[in-house]
Amino acid sequence: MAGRPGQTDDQERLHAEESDWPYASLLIFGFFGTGTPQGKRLAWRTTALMAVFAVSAVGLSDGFRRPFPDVLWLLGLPGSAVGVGWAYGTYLGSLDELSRAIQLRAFAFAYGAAMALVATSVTIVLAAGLRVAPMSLLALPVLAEACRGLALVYLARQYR
Amino acid sequence: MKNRIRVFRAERGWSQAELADRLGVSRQTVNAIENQRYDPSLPLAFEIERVFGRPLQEIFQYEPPAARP
Repeated sequence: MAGRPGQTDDQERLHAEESDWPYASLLIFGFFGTGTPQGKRLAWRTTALMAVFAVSAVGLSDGFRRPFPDVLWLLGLPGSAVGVGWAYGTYLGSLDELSRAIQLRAFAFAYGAAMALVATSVTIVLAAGLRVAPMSLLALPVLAEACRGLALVYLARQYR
Repeated sequence: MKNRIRVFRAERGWSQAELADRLGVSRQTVNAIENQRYDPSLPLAFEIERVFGRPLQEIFQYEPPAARP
């Protein structure tokens, strides 16, 4: 392996023994996660399933449900949620044990953060008597995902 | 938990990536185990034993946590 210019043998050896975590491939949800085949699969599946969820939600809430029976939209909501769970389960199963441990800890952090965000948001909305559009609740999963990304970077750095 | 993975790896002239390939894990995992930042699962520990052909007790040394006052 060719060394970097100006590196001593010791520096070169240390660099070879460092653990550079592919942060970009750890962060998933359609925005990142294209660094590994498993990440690509998960990003594609979660994006497609979230699209199914969004279409089903819109289908239930307004008029374009006419061409299809309501039961189709009703199945789309839980179906996409189960699908996302399956996609993440498959993804975690494909990781090696340390990557899986890091992902699970980050999920735990993101879950806690999401609960805190929901509780805080609901409290503020109720206390201030605000009228909030239901669609703005979609920001919560995005915030939770950002929390998971931060947790992943922090946790992965512990194993460098 | 202390271990001598780096020593056994160096004896065989393997890089971390080579060992990771033999074990079926990522190089980050091998690095974290060598630096005692991560304790492997029991199946992975037995896989390490198999790859090096050394008994588990030679590779890993358990250090009990210090007694609390």
